[in-house]
Amino acid sequence: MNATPLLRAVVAGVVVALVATTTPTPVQARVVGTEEALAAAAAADASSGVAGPRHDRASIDALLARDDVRAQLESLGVDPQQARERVQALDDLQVQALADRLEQMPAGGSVLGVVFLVFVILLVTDILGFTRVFPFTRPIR
Amino acid sequence: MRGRAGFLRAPGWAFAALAALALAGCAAPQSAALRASLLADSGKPVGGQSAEAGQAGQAAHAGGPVRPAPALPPRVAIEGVPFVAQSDYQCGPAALAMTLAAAGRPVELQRLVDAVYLPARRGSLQAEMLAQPRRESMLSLPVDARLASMLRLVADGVPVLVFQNLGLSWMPIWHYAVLVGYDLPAGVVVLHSGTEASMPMSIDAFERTWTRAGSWSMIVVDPARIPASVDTMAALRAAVALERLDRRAAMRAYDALLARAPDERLVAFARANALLADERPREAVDAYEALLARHPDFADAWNNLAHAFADAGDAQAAQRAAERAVALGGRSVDVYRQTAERMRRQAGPQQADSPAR
Repeated sequence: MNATPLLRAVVAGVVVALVATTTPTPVQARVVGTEEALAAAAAADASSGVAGPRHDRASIDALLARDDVRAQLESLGVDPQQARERVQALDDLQVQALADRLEQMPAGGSVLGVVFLVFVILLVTDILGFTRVFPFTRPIR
Repeated sequence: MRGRAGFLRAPGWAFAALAALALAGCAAPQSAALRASLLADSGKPVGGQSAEAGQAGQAAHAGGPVRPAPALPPRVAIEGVPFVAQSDYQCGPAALAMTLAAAGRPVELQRLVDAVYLPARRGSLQAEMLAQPRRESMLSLPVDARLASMLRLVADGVPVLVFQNLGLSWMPIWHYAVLVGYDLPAGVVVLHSGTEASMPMSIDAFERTWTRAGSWSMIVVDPARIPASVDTMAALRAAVALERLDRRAAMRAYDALLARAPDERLVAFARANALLADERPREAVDAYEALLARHPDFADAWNNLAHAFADAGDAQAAQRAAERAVALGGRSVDVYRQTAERMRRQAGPQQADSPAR
């Protein structure tokens, strides 16, 4: 079976993309950034001798993570323009953490919207002094 | 009938669970220790705080001279923290509005809702709470996981934005509130929380709800007014995060931190790097040279000094600095070699090219 021009184009594109993403970035003459020096100092404190991820590699990962988090924010109902600005305000560590496990992270909301059974249980635990959901309860201890 | 039987079984199960939880969850160790030390030595407050002062001293050690932590006053109420009532599930934006205003940057509530609220989650994430104040050129930083650290900040007039789980570990109700005061002898803290201003809460219950949410809290301050009790390195990391959005604001934090910890090389490095990025190469050269006079083995700083010299138009000095970095070597030695190569070419093109021909 002969490869169609379209298939050839796709294969060529994949090959180029693979080569581009797996070839190491050449080292350049550049300023060593503060975040980089902080990360190196933290790595040296944690375990002497073990180098952290290469700066160039780490910044590519951070870029991908930023896009991932932006998409997640949008899917959770945030306006696209706002999502871009919100992701921009996060530092690299926060972006990585959010990209890995935004789903499991707690989101602080409020006291409102608790269903009745929960209300009764929490009322009792409030009175026992174990929780503090309702402002009107006075703990017994 | 089946439904009724289920209903009858449920209270028994709930009661057993509650009894177990009540037995397991009564201790609130940090508040108990704080109150005990205060009451035991009410006449001599410093002696009662010995364990506390030791820990605070260790924390401060990383960033400069050890300052013995002054004893916590028994009761504090921060004046003038405006109360912003939350609506719906938006305690996060409301808590931010209060802390930003207290730090001198009042922001409209709707703007904060747009910046941190997640509609589908009906709440706000901690990471975004920390990130938002940077968009207003303010410094935000997490507080370490000790009750005493939060009370210290309140005693120094800084309201603390706290994260609480008001429910149970298996049935969480996540909530943000602002700690604005405390009264240790009475055993209460004072919170701006939800729709209630200056709400008193038992310090034991507060500690449990806060511990159950991971002992997380944060503060928002003007970059030039970093509280003395905050660890220098923690403040530096916060300032670096701020630099991403507002370099000038971050530089005010670097200046404040350098005045406090002149020997902390990463603070001086951050400040010099910011000057270089701000296209002030002459000032950056001075900053790197002052840093290297104290820490001559700091290879990254020699490398960056070379770039500062090059930007300032002094190619010879740039070459000498880059070679110092290469000679010291280390983790980024490949970068130093490239820097040295470029500086050699700029200093004398004929010199670098002739061996190749």
